[in-house]
Amino acid sequence: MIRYIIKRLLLMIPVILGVTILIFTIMYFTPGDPAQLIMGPNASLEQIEAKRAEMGLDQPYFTRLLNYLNDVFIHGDLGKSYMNNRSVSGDILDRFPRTALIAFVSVLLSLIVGIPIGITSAVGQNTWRDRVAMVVSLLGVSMPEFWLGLMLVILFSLKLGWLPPSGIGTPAHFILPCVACSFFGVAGMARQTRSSMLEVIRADYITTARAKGLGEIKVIYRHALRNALIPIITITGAAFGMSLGGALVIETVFSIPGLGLYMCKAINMRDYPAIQGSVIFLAIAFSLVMLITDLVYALVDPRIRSQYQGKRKASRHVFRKVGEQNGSE
Amino acid sequence: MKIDDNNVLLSVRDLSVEYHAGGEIIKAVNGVSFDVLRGQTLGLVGETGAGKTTIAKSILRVLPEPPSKVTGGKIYLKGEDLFSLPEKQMRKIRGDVVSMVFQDPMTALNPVFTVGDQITEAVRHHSNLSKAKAMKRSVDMLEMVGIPAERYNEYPHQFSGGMKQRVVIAMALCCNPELLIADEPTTALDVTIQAQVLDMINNLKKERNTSMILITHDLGVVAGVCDTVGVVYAGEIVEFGTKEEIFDYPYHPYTRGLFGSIPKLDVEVRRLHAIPGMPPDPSNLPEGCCFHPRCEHATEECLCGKIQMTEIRPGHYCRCCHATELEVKHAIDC
Amino acid sequence: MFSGRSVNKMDPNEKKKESFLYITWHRLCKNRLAMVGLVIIVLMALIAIFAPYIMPYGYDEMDLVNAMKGPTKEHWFGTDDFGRDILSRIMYGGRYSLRIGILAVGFAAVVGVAIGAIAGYYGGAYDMTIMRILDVFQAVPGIILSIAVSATLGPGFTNCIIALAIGMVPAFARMERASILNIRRMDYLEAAISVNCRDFRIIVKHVLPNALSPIIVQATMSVATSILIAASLSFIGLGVQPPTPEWGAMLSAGRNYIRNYPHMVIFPGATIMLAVFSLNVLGDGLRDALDPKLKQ
Repeated sequence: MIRYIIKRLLLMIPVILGVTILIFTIMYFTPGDPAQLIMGPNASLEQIEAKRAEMGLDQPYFTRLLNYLNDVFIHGDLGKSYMNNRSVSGDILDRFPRTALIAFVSVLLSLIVGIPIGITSAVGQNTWRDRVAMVVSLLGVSMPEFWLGLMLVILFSLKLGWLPPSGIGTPAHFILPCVACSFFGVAGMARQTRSSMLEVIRADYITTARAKGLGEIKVIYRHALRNALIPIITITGAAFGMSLGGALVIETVFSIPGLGLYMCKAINMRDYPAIQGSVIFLAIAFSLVMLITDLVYALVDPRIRSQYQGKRKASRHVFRKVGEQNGSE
Repeated sequence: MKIDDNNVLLSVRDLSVEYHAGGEIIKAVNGVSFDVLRGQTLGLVGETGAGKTTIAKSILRVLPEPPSKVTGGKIYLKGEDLFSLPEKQMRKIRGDVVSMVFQDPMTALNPVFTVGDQITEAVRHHSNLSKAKAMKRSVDMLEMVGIPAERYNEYPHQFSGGMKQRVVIAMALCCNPELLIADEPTTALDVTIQAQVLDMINNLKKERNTSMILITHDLGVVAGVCDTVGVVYAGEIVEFGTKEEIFDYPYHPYTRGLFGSIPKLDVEVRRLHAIPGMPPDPSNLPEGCCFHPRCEHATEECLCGKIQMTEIRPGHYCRCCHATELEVKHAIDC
Repeated sequence: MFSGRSVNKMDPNEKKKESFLYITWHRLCKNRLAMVGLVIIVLMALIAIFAPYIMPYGYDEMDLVNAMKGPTKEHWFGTDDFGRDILSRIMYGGRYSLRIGILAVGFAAVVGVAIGAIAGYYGGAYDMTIMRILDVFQAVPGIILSIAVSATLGPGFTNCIIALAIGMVPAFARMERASILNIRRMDYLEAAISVNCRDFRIIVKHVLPNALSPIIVQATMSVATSILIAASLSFIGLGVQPPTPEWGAMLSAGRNYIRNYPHMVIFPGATIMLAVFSLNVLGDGLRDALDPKLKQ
């Protein structure tokens, strides 16, 4: 098991490296001259040139890349923002918790609410409950989250006045953003769970379980569910990625000072270190979450688990226990 | 069919099952009747798709309900009508009085539970044994089918096909059922493993006096293990009798076709003899005798309504309106 | 003995030869919801194509006197802040939103399938390198990658398509690779080769239907996702910007007015939802119809 963890961690490193290089390269090709933007329209050519040299913009691609990699990985420094000349990493760490909160709540709700809906749908296939749940879920995955956010604001903030429409400060400020962001996730998870369960219920081993005389509840919740949840684990990792993206956009609807708003401002101001740094940071966060889901998956699926474990010592324990019974009888 | 009340364990009467799929009605089983006596093994022989598995699953009532529907007939277990039992009672019977071994061992076991736990689960469900005692019983069953005790905690994917099938058999027998239904238990296995598994089933059966319904398409298996034989074609039993009767005096043209298809080692032939034509489409069965389109002896009579079973020889029944004529013909041939 | 005429044997050719396409179409038709989705999306496409001829007003025809009015008989969906008819803008905007989706997916599918096919077919070093590169791309969640590319390229119709396509290529590549690997293992391919089936015939009759099925389903769902992401990009200032009547851009323009004029935001958003819903439902139906294991 430890071997597997270490193996996965090691695999993550070249990927993160690759992502950094990728994002750096993508941003490298933006048109426009940051030095000029910072110095403003009235600066003279020499001043701009001096600024460029100071920022290291006159260096060739590879030198800049290596410097950047060195900064990011050895010193943990994501550069300085053009907007406010502050450390990008500092800004990101200030703001990310709010984005992360929305994304995490979203995933949590999709597990707590989405999975049970999917199960009841699958078990009562084609009943009205199933049909309604699935149509609502379909609508849920079809609507843009920010539009849902706007609709919720219209209803709950403007018309009813129950919840604040923007900003942060109290837990109530987070209710609408979280609901808007999680609707998609809950709906998607319900659909996935349903289809996973339906596939499992058709399997031969479920008929075997019934033929053993087990009650329907045991068959569904013990035999079927454990198998159906295995692919759901992988999906949860991807769902977190989508929730992160959704949270970024939701922040602009609710003016939440998280990473999303930061990135949008940075994009408008052509603040490339900030954009770069944010994207790389998000990629690292996402990769960590995927790593965790892979580990959980390996733990839960005995077919994977047995590859990384030696023969269980417990089997000898059973044998001995059985032997003791033999002796005592 | 003779009904000797005390001796009859299972009695199937006029069982009919349909499947509703994509707007079509598929008549899988059409008026099947047979008895299984205590300690006796009935072999149900027929081609794939003849309806044998459906018959088996109907006995245990594990047919998938939405597409399938039992449209008629009764099944009596020790005199009790299984179809009228509430689900709760039925669950007590499944795995305990009647159990089933399914065809494909590769998918019959739950991949996320250990082999031993799956057997223990069945044991504990049908008895009040403590966990430790139940586990001991499972270990005993595993050893009985030739699997060492240490493998109790291993998962199905760590076993080969033949061993998986043995686990399934252990699971089916762990509660000492009175009737074991084995649906093509050796079809997915190699010939050598087949022999082992069949031997094992046979011995276990003899030790415990278990009745068995063995579903197969392999006449060799039937010869080795069964006492009575029912030949199934297009959801009907077309011939029924003891093994000796069927093997020595096959009457129904289909049965004769089956036996005729077996290559003989001592006779040189250029082509294998096959029954011409194809099995009928269960959603579109032919009128009258369902075999008539492929039968060389078919006449107008064969199209008129459902053909009844006639007793040709004592205890030997055949569903053919020309059976008696054919009898004379066969007698001359032999 | 007995006399008897031979009765007609059953004709083995009775059942019509049914091609794969016919069977799939037939199964799809039985799915009422999928049919509804198909009809809706085709209607929306037709409306978008013929918009200049059927829209009640010009999409940029301003009428400041009647600005920001809610739904009325003259303007079924109301007007926006410049007095432009929202219904006409939505109809014309379909040309942008739908085209972005289709073009982005088309591009991503072609590139992705090619990459995946190379990886799956040649295996070895090609496979390894391609897989590792895909890993890197997929380490960034889809929307975020599109945002990054969009930020570099700037707003605009073509840039939006490129940004979306890049985000979707890895999924198509992986799917195609899996298809190819699966097919190579399949016995029926060996069987076809063993009866001397010509290569081309093998590819067309055996390989293609099985390889294309998941791609078709994925493509349909991806168009749906693209429309959503394109709208998000427009909303945050990338992608297509106002005054272009792309549906997301309309939402972005209308968001400042939701307090008093929510209709400016409700209708474009509902249109997006309708289009994406239809595509999702159609995609689901296609997946069920193409699944060989699924017996209804």
